[in-house]
Amino acid sequence: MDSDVLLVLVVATALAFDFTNGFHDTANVVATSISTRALRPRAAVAIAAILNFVGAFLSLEVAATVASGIVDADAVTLQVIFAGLVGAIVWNLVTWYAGLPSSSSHALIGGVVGAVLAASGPSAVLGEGLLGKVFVPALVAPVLAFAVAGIAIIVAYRVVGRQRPGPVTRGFRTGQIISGSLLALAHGTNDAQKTMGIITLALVAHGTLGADNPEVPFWVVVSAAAAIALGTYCGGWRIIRTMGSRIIKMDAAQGFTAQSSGAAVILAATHAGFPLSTTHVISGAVMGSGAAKRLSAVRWGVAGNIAVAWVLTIPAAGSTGAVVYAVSSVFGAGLVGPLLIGALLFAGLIALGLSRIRQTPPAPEPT
Amino acid sequence: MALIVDGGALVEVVWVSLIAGIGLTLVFSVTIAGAARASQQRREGRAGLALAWGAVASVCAVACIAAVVVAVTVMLHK
Repeated sequence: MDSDVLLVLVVATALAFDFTNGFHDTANVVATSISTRALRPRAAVAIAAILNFVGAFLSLEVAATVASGIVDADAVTLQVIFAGLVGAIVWNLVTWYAGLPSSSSHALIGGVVGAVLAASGPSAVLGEGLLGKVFVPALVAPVLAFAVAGIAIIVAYRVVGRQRPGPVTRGFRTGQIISGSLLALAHGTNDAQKTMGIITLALVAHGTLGADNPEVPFWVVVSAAAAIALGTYCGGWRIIRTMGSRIIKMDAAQGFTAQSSGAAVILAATHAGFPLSTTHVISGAVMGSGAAKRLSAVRWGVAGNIAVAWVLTIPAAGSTGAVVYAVSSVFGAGLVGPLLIGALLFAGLIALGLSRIRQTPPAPEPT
Repeated sequence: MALIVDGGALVEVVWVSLIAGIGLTLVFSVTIAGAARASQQRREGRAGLALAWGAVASVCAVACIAAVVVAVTVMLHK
């Protein structure tokens, strides 16, 4: 009975993480379109939400779960998964509050690694996997996207440079709607699967599904798709503002270039099976499209804050995951610890929501 | 290092990203420039040039649509 309730709690926490993932990553997809006025803000997030939902159904290859090859599979229990998810949710909320785009995948991996460290010690963490699947891609993604977008914007300006600005801007804005839609679809395909993978992992740990090639139940697909779409629709406006206008003040050509270069890098990585973070790619592409026009066009202070958030993601989410596991295990291996922490997290979220409603007027939609 | 990172996949990501990202931007920019020039030539009464630029823009637009189809196919077969 206890393990059934714990499973329900883990599934609910995984869906809450999925919601924050959509909420946090809306900016990756819509910020440039909103900033260049290719789309109105509400229309942009609505399209992104629908395409995230659709994207979640495009591919169900959840053969590898999010932490596979990074931690010892035997060390992953329901309590570890719960603690990892809480670590990721807390980091997503902290970075959202600071308006900083950071990788939800890295937050989840960090949370799980921290919880596994607390549960089973350093021997259960596979250092090579962490280096090869997390740290190296985290360096490659922004640098590659920066270079691709930087060269692409120079090419674009060369080609359209002598044309009247009106038709050119309209053309690039139209292109942004298409490239933004592709990004939203790719995001749904990649990120909703993380939650599907984590819920499937929980179902296996609980014994509901067999460990050999478990199939993702349809209700898991639908609920993960719905949670990420709902989060996307709610829109993390703080991060959208950072990504859309605080890193660079972009024109339509830069917006299109950032999105299309980002989509190219993400899809190339998907094709090659090389794990790259959508957030790192799009942030790098936005900076590249600005820096190629003029180095001083990029607000390097903002870019530096974002880089610091990236560096801190794994340790911060990991520390939270470890503390949550340690506190939770004080009450034994059963339900009491996760239930108490779940209640605290829920109360914290309600308090945060109420204080936001009381203290700040509704943010005007960027126009 | 080679065992830790899949070097082949990394190299593939780099060159495919460069070609796809820069290529798509180039082709889409030519679409826009071609359409703008076609419109300008039409206004100036040069029907032949307008037709030629219109054809360039159309071919590039088709190439962009093909790129979108390839992108969706990659997502479907990952």
